[in-house]
Amino acid sequence: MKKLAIFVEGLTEQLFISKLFIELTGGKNIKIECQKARKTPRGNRSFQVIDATSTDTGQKYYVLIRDCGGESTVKSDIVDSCADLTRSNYEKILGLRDVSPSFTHADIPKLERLLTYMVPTRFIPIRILLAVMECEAWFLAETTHYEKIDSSITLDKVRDLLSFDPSCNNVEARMHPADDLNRIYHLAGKAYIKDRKRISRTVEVLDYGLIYLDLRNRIPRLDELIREIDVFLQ
Amino acid sequence: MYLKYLDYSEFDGTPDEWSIEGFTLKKINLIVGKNASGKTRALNIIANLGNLISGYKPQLYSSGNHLLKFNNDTRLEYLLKLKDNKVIEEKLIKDNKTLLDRGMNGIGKIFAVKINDFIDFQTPDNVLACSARRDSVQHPYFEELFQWGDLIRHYHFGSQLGKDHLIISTPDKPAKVDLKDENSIVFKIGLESFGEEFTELIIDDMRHIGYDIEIAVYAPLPSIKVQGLPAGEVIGIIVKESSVNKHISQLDMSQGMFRALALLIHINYNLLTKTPNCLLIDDIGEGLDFERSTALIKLLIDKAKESAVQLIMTTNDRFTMNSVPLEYWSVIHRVGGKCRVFNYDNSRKIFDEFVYTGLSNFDFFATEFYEKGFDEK
Repeated sequence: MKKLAIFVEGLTEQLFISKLFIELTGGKNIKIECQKARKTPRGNRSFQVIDATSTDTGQKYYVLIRDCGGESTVKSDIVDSCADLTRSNYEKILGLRDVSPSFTHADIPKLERLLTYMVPTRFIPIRILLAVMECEAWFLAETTHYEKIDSSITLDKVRDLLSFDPSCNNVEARMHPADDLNRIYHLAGKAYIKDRKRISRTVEVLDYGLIYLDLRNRIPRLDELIREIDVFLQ
Repeated sequence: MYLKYLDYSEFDGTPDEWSIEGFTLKKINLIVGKNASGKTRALNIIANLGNLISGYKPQLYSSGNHLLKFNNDTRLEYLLKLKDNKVIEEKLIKDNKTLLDRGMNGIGKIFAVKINDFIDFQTPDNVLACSARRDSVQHPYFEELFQWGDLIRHYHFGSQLGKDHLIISTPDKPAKVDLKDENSIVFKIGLESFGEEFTELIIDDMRHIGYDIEIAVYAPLPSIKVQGLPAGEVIGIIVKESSVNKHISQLDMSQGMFRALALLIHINYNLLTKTPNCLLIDDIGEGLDFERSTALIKLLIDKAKESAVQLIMTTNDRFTMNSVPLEYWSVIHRVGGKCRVFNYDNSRKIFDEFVYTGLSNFDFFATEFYEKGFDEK
């Protein structure tokens, strides 16, 4: 079994990556386990299983997706877990965190340069990726999903609302993509709120074929993530 | 008025020497450090001095050199040196003017406002002049120092916080509550003073941190019987959780739930009485799960921001550290008997640079990044 561990900052990234793997593999021959950070009764940090796509049936791929509960705990949780994951025969660890809200665009080069700072090199390979400014920028760019949220939300309305065209402009330039999504959904009296129900509603209607074949070509950090997934699934 | 600077040492030049120097404080503070680094001791120093100044616990201790500076409309500094349970030096300086200057044997000079001159005085050397000479006409500058000491509240979140304290029903007698005692029954006087507003505030705050309660009352606990008293004469706090069709007495509550409830009762009472004070909370969040601990700390910070309260908390819990921004941190690092404090005031560049590592606040502490930053790692 090939094993990959992905540490993410929150539920949004966890649900999105889980769905991305299912779509790219057809859900066959893969087990995805989602875990969430928690505090043990003795005050230690551990992870609790909150969802798994299936039981162990000898699948070829196993993907562990850990919700670290914040952007600043992604790297720390990776550092804390990498020895155990190496012993458990994982082949790589990925991290995914947003740039927002702690940093601006100007901070990104420095942030990327220091992402390897204090990351152990004696275990399996570790790579931490950024979503600029938020993972929701990728959802924003997948403009066909708006009408699936509500048929009254057209791309023209979105362009007018944002004075920005998410179908061709650089979504990484948006400061608050999650707020953008919320404003877009408000066009139809709906909301994008970071709870499981609302996030799932969006994640479920995204076009993953479009993301894989098209969007990655104009969103460099999304492409980096998909490349890592491609390598794992080879 | 809040404390903005503390120097303290004791038993100087002896094997028991212990000191903390250059400790700058802000309105909101989280003191972080390893076990036995001096976090709790730092709070005790502030609380004990407040108790001395206010006369709440006037017994002098055998050694202690204090220098405190306060943030106010004016600059106030207070210096106190104790040795062998006696005052050997005491000074109060306001806007660079020494108003009290006292040395050995209790002899000193003190400024008298009405006569606009210094007068000689001598007080017993086992009492503080700022307390013994308190006189709002001649020495009004002592009042704000007294108020500061009197209004300090010190809570040990890892303790019972009054869970095992019940009172006997005495309807004719008003409740007598010692607000400096963390175990005292503040809920009763809160209800008597503010009525439903107080209860609603407590319920709202408990819900805010994840305890979904709908009723909080102070009522007889039928299950508790005391020899010689009729049943129902023992009074305690009772709550009802929304999801459970049963009332829970303070004796049956989980320790974590009661700690949160007790702390919120104390703090809301203090805030409703609108008395600016200094809240010292040791081991904040101890015994609570991550979500509730985080919510409680955020609530306390928000309340402190909206009031005149100075909040000084301690922790060595990684979840608490991760939930409190570094701008509020002071890391105590002890080598032998000497404690150094690292915070934004003296290590701003290191604190600001750390966020780029992408590591958690806990790692700022655990890796000792606060001491050297990037340069020497």
